[in-house]
Amino acid sequence: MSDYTLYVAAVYGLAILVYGGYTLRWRASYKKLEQQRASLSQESP
Amino acid sequence: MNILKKIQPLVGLATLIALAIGLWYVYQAPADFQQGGAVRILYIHVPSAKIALLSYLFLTAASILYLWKRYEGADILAEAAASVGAAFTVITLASGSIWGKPMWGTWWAWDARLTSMLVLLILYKGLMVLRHSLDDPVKGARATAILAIIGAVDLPIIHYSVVWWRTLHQPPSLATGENTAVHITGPLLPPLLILSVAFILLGLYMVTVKARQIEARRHLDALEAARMHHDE
Repeated sequence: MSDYTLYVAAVYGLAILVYGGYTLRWRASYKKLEQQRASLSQESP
Repeated sequence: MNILKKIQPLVGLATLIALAIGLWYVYQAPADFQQGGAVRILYIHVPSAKIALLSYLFLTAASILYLWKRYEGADILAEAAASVGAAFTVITLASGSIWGKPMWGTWWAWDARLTSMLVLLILYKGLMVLRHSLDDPVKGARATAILAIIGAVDLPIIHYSVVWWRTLHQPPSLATGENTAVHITGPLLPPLLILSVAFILLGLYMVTVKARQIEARRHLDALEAARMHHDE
């Protein structure tokens, strides 16, 4: 019986890529937005 | 939304611990006598499908709350749940397809469960597009909330599709009762249960991360709008 290693690896790899990728992307975006907001607040009269 | 800032590290830590334990159990679990090692795909597929549905349930509740109380926090959570739910639906469809190829001999079948799940993904994407297609953010939020509530009709269809119709997709893997011809039991069950809990935590963590990003973007937009107004 085949152990379907390639199929299993593809699913776990895809899950890490999508869940991990989105989480890291959103965290990075949050930090960038907060920096922009801080610099804009300082510039504001 | 200060509560998100407070709970995010705790939920993140709990997620990592639960995922580590769950993956250890997956590594230790024996192969299924029918599916062989491919049963390991279900440890990702089943919890992802559950979170894809739970996210929409959460989104619907947040949409009702927003339309009722006009509470912006509910709208932010609804927007976050749409993004997170879409991610879990993509993995549900992809993992199901990858599992289906060796088990069913096909990547895809237009049966009731698979099709209603694809409709869920289209709904999530539709909500995201609709929100940003309107210039007025308040109108966008209201239109999105109304569509989300209407779209909730897909949830019972997805859940009961394998009971109501003859489908290629097997009955629920974790259900009890008569519709359990193919279900996960014995030593195959602990990894599924632990990863189900881990994925609930992961979904919650992703919602907090996304919600904080949305809130920061809205604050920045408001600040820029106020600045432009002041310059005029």
